[in-house]
Amino acid sequence: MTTTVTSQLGPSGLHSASQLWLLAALALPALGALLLLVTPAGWWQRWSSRVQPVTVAVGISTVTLAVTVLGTALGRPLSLSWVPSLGISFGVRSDALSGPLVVLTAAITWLCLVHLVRVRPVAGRPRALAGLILLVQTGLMGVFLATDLMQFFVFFEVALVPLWFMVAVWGSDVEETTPDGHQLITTAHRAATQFVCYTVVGSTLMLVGLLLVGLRAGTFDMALLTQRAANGWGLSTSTQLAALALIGTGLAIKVPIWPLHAWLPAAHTAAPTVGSVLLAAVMLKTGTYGLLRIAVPILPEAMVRVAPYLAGLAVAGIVIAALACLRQTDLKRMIAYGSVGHMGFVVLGISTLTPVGLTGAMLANIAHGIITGLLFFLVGALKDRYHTSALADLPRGLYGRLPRLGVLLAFAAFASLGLPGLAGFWGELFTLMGAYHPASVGSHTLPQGLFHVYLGVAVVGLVLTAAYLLRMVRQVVQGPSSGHPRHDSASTAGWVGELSGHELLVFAPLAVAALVLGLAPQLLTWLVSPWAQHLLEGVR
Amino acid sequence: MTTSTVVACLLILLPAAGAFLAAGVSWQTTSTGAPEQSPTSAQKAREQAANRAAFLSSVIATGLAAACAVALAAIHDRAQGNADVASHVLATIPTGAQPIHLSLLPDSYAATLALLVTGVALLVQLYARAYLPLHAREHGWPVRYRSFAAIVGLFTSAMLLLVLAGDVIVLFVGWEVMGLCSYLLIGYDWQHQPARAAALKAFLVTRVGDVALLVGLIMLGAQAGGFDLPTISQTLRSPAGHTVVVTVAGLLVLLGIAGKSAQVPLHLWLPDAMAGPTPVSALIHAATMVAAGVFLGVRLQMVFSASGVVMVTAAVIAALTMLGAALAALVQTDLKRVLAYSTISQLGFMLGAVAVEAPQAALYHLTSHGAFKALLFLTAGAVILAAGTGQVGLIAARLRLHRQAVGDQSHTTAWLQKLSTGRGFFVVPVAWVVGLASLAGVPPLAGFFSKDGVLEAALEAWNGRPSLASAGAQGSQVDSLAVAGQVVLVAGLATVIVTAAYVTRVGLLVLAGPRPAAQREAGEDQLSVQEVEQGESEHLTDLSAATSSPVTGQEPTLQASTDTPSLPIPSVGARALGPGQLPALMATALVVLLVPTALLGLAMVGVEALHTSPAHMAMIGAITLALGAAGALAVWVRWRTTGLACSDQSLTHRRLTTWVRSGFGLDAVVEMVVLAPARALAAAIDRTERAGTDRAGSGVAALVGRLGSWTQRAHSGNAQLSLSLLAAAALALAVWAVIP
Repeated sequence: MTTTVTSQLGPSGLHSASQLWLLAALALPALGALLLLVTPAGWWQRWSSRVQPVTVAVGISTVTLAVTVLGTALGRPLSLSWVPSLGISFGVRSDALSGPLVVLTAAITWLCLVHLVRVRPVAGRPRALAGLILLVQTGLMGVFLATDLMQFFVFFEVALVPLWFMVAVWGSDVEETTPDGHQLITTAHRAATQFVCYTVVGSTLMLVGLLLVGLRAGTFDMALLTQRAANGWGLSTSTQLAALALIGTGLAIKVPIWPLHAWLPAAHTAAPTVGSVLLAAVMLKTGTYGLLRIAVPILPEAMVRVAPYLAGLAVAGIVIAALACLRQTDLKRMIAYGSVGHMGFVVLGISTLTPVGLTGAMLANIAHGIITGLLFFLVGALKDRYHTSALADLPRGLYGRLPRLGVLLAFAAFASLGLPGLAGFWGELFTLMGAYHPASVGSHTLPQGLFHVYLGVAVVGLVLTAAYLLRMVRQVVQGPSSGHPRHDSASTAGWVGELSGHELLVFAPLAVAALVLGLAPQLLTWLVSPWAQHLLEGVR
Repeated sequence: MTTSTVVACLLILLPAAGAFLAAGVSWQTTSTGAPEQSPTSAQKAREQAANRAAFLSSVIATGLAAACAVALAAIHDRAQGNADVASHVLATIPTGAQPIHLSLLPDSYAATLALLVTGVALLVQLYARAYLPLHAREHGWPVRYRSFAAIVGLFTSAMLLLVLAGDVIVLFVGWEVMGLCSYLLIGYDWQHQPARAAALKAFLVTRVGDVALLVGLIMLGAQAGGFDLPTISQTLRSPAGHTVVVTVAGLLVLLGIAGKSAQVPLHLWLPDAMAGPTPVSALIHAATMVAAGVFLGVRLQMVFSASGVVMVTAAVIAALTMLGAALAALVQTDLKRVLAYSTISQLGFMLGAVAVEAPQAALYHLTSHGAFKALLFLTAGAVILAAGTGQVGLIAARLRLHRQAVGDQSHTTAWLQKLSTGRGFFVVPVAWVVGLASLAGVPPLAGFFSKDGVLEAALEAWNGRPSLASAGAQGSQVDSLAVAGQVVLVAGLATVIVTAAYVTRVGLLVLAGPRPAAQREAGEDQLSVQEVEQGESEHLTDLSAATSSPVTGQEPTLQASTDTPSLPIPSVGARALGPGQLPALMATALVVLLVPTALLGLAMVGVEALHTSPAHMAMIGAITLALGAAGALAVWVRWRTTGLACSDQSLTHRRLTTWVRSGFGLDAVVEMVVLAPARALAAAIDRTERAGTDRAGSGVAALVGRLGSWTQRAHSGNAQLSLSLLAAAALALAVWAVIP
């Protein structure tokens, strides 16, 4: 691992065809998005009798997924000079840190597009939605594959704009009655704008921080910066602290770290199913990926100083989000809030600055992507049937009404609460192991007693997480399966069929992935834990 | 890989495979048909075939696993003396810190437990095939046999994983999956509100123990530098291992054990868990899963030995639990709740054995208790089906009444004799008496020897048996062992009295009723069906007012009787089981369980490891017999003279009784101290969060809007907000970066 990094420092140009794999993985969705979004409607109408635009998107996405898997396995990194005067380059690189996330992105996008083939958006215009999904994919893959800080930033922004459209145009207004009896209405437009405002403020701060790092160091190449920090001749501590404050805030909004999460519940709830899935399963990971890729290896000295505070915010988020979840009246909003807690575990793992904590963070990242993606898909399936995600309006007794959907929903809930044997457990275990023995290298020993307190609080969060998910199971999945006044009358009954084969095609891969990673976490840890060691070389 | 490793792998995988097949059948054949649509004959036939497939796959898989368990035991029998079996690492999970080894430790302890688990699981699978349709018919619910078989298979596999695990994290995986299965099976009747509530409560209460256990295991793993059991025991055996960390870790592990094995203060979930079907109570909430906590205690015996604080705390918890639960069992009005409290009490004995460093006595009592308690629960299942009620005061009268309803007017003294003539049903009273006798400790049944084993160990600990941690040779360790022995012995002897008393009470109530036949008011046996149903419905109204009985849904029974008021026979016959109708599968399970209950004690009486001193053995035996006889006699005299109080009305008039019956009011304490504050905190956080997100959202939007309009003015109208902000920031930064 280390040798590949050191041999690829700086722009190196194109040497072999295997360097093109990852570039293709990045270019394919971009071209697909262009094809779907830019071509005139009449052009599609001529073909529409035979080829649906969404089908084309699925085709493109399938090829992208295959190329991505091959590229992460076989592809070699590529780095080309972009703005030589400022030392900015453009490259693609996949390693143990980015590889799993790139594959996750391609897979989730594929599932979203397949979902779209049969489950058409209520707001219509499936072609534009499919195009936007591919555009989001381009942005997210670009973030994970980037070799350069500026490139990281650019793709960070690329994913943003299509998501605004996705939430504002295809989203639905959220009406909910709070436990106190207040009626709250959040329009999709408002939720989308709030999300974009937050993220733009964050990414602006981040840009300033990235420029600070790049201009001070004279290069924006992340591998080079990492190596310099590891060798102990990185940036001065004060520069690192300033940069981390700026970059960290931007990333923290994206993760989101409590208390910067205010945009998340509304955006996730208003978004259409595929939008929620993309937001929760992949989008949030750009934040934690940034922490792992930039904050820890490039700004290690600042990170050691900030870590105790970051961990404090993370565990506060874990408990507060879980408590808030206990009071949610909307299923989508509850799962969205739950993400704050789960990402809290990821951030806690990173803040321990130990190999085991970082490994845990990466595992929890992937697991959250799989499990929350599944949860949002399932809630979407409920919403397609009952046209609501409010707990009070959903019928009870899903076990009796739609047994397969009910069983899958219960399965996803148990995966989400971190049941051992399913994917969610290992990330949490490793994070807790890291928090018990936080980094104690050199002069900057993390305060062990404080981290033990964090460990205790996080564990309380685990109990509360179980509580809110089981509350959901009890309210929706269990219960009498007949006699709901609203859904048993023939007049309002729409299509309430059992899980279709098509839906199963979309949901089953996620369920199987959660099970496989739960039974054999070494599939990932073999890859990830040596790399965690490598990321921490600068922490000394 | 050695033979024992291969056998152990098969043991774990076989039930899982059976469960997988049953789950597949269940998934394939699930139907969403509304209950009011009567199924066609083709559908019925398909249903039957699917049930048969699920039954065969799970029974064959469990049966093969039982054969593997026998093989494992045989291997150990042949290789006697070779006690320290090395753990076999099958795979390693790198973590970045101490690695997790996927390893198995198929030693003789594991072999014993595997035999118990597969044996009881097999019998319960057989029993449930006949029981569940009757159970469903009683309540008017659809039968869901296939998912049940699958979950029980998954449970068996998880329990075997726990038993055979050589690494505490792998053990924890089995531990939690068992918890999941327990949750699913308690909530098996998910249409029924008490079942849902009990399932949730069980999962959350045990989850509290589980996270404590997880932290404790992480601490032990960090201390020992590895998670495998031999490494941890080795580290703790050395004097350097006796630190504050080990004490804290030990207390956390103890909390985990308390959660799983229903010990004070985390015992709250088990009585409510009786809302699950009776075979589940027999397998999971009596014989196997709840004993897993004790098994963990045996595996981590060195944690108790390494710290006097942990040892004494464990002894106190065990003492409180065994005595308190026995007292609670004495005043329960629901048959299954009596058995549940008795399980809690007996688990206290096992934990007491762990606390006085007698792991073999703990395992022996675990095994014998597993046999006789499974027998008692399975018998109770048949009795409740036959009586149509779980109320101890009504069972005998209902069974008598039932006999009349089917046309037998002969006035024999007890329903016992009548039942004996029915096909298979003769087993029930025999099993009931033998099971209860074993629980009370009547020689020569298994319970007598295994309970005395625990008490002997406590006596020896009191007398100054050297501690296992004597490598450190610390005086304080020996002292704490003596204290633990004292606590366990005193509480244990007191519990023997109470146990004999509640066993006598519940035995008399079920077999004869609250009063002896001679004292029953004349003509009670001729009470018309309606009158009894009438009295019962009053009784039930009281019941629904009382909070303590979520068990055995009564409403459907009442429903059945009001639906058909003109026909006395169906109203009584609405209960699922008549005399002479005990299905062969259920009878088989009872007969097979009778064998170990009766003989296990004699088989183990000569094992030297359990009885170090014949004098102590004789003394303890004599004392427990005398105490037990006294307890039983007291109840019997009361039964002869005034009759036994057995309904809520006759018990609620004393506040003390009510308090004891509700499990010493701990539920209310938890509600006040934990749940209410948590709810208030959640509400407060939710309010601030909603206000916060709202304000923050509008705040940011307003800020950005103002900035936007400001930059618009500054840039003559067409500047994009984001771009101009970026440009300004970049410029400022570039200037700062370039200026040295």
